[in-house]
Amino acid sequence: MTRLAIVFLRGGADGLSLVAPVNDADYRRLRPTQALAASAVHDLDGTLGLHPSFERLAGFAADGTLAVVPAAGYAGQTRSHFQAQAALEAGGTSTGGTGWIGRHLAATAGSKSSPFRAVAVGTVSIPPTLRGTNDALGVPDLSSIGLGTLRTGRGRKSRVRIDRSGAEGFDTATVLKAWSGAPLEPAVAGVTAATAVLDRSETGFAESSGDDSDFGTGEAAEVFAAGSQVLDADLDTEVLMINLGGWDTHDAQGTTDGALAELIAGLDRGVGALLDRHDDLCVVIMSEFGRRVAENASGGFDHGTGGVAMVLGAGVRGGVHGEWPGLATLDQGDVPATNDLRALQAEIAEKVLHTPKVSDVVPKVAGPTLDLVA
Amino acid sequence: MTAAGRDGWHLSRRQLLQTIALAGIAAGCSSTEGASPRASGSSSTTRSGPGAGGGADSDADLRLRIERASFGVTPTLWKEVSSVGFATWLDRQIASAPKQAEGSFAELDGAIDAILPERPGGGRLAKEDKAELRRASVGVLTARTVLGAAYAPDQLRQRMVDVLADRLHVSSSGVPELYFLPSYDRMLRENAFGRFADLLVEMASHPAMLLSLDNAASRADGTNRPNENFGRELMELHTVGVDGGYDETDVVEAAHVFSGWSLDRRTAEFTFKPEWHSLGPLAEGGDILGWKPKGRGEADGKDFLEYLARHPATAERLVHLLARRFVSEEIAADHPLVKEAVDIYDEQDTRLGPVVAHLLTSDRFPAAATKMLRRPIDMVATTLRRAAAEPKPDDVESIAGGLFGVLRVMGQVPYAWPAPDGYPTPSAAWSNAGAVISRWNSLITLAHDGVPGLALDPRRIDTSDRDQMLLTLCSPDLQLV
Repeated sequence: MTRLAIVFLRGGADGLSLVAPVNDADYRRLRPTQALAASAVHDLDGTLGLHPSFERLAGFAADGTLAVVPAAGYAGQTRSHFQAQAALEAGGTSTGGTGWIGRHLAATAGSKSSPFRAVAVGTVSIPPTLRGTNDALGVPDLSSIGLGTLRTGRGRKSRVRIDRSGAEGFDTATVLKAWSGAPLEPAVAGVTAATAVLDRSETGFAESSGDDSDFGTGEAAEVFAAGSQVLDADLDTEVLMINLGGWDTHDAQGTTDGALAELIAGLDRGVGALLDRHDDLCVVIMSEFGRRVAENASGGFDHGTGGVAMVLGAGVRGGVHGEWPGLATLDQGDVPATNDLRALQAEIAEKVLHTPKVSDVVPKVAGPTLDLVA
Repeated sequence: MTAAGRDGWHLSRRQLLQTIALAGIAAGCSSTEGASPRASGSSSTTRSGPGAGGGADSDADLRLRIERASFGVTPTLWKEVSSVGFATWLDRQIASAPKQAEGSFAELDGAIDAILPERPGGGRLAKEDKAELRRASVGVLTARTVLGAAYAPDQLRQRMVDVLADRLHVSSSGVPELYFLPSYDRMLRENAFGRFADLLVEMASHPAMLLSLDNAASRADGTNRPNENFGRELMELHTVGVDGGYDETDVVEAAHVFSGWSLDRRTAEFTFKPEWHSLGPLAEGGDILGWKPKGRGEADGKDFLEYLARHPATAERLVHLLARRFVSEEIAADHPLVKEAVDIYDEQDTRLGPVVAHLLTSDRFPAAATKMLRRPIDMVATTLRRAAAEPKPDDVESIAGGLFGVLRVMGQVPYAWPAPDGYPTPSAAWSNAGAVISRWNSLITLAHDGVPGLALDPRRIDTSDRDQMLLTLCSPDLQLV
């Protein structure tokens, strides 16, 4: 059974830098100082090329296990981060704050119900994608599941250790009892779920393999390593969610090096290491929108519409999927959202998650299937 | 990176770091002295109720109102409010000067600010200087926020800043922002009860916001396209909201209005650069949400901010947020209490003090209020108010480090939310199992004196047993407000 990892690039990743139409005259005209050279990118099909920092992904492309969907988005979507993220995470439909993966989990809970079925790492909140079910959990990493005194360093990246001796005398059953009948439902549910998660942790999690250097360094590396540890643990996790921030590059985006190149390198190493370690994994990379075609005066790009999505790993049909419209006709200065991301989400729900009724998870859209997964 | 133009100066983040280093101004000291809140909270109706009569019901009612106006009822606070009446106490809170000079907190407050270095090093910031800047800035923001909420006498102001820091959020994820955030936080405190229109001008011209949403580098002269980040979020997040009636053209036009709102390279203070400013398409007519510029450069931007502050959509959205935080997270935007408070916002020339006073003193409050889960900062502050002795000024730096640790684990380090929309309000956003476990661990840590300098005393909550104290701290009585 293939498992799913969703990597969400928060902030609106510049699709035209992740997958650049390097030979397009309009691309060079509208990005006089911020275009990638044709010689710099990893060519995909003669028209589009991967950003030079996608070293691992270039290898997957060559192996035929990287599917790229350019000009991806929702038709008529807004350029607001918050609306666009909400729409994408809801699966392009409005169903009372539930997410597309959350609805899949709710529909398939049954006897295998567990908060570990879908885990978001690097956070203590449930991302909107996973809402609508009790079968989801947000944790910084597995080592933070457990009771005790927190021992933290001062640095930004220093790990938190839990000293379990501090929890002697802390009885979760007594706490739980105090909360039964408490007036605020979400808080009561959270306390109940926390108790269940702690019970599950009593049997122990698989130890981290120790050497995580293949994930690289930095915040992205930490969260990818934490995600990998969840998949390694004996938790029957079906969906892993990883959120990466910093993609809102209004200012000083850079080209082959600089802010965006560093973000891409972190993503590339993280996804590469994750796939090296888990051959049963399908990875979906998405972002709420792409960025404006033309650069602004501060060396960055403002909010746009069509962006890029990628699917890679187990069962994936490599290559460029959907239609690339070029940059001759723009949507108010932006790449048109030609390829509907709901089609991508529906295909993942059907072929990777094996959702019983796909239309309950993602509404059907007109047009051909993207045919991303075998 | 973009090269500096010959006539202009491109303020990239990297260059800004040098500017910061050169300027050497101590953040937190640059804000205006002696600013006084202009409004007292009086609103003529519905002031008789809380604290006026006797009886158990009115005690419970008064207690809830004080809980929402502060970070927790203490015996001292209860006595103080009971003696003068809730409405009078509230008016005094609103009328009090932003920085309290009296009481034992003054010394603590001084120690908190003293964490900031005079300057983060000369010339280009070295790696260790950046680390020192982060340590100092995060330290002062954490200590000021949490220790202020726990121990400062101006409790209502602390509560207001908790809301305003989300509505006008600047994320500390960038290094230049870190330098200016303590001063930005001070600015929010000084303007917490004044005119929202004035607060918007202070916000839009503050280095922290100019850097955070990139406006400092926005120029629209010649063929340059202005940076749309600030113009968009100003309307979507700070004022009218995403359904406020603007479109994509308005976003571009708003970006033009603020082109040239920048920073002086030498002093790192706000400056308007007329040579970078252009109204673009707005110069040939047109309007943003009914507002038209007069072609007066910087004054146009201020005029637009005043217009946005008075816009009905801003009034409704801002007052609704205040009602969600002070009354009930579930309260409807068209609830009579919210509508009355919107009217007061309009009548009182966008002053925030009278709005909050009405929400908290209204006869409608008891029926409208619902339980909320304390957010992590609130939870730590209320724990300290109930069970910890006031810390010693000498301990502030180590306390800041320890508090930073527990708040990071719970996901609410002050100003650290990565997106420009601020920390979420709904209880559900803080109720995930992972968050609950982090909450318990933070309390276990505090209960075992894991934050040096903040010792909890079980006797203060009527037990001699540490485990029993922990159970009380984890109970709905304390976790919910």
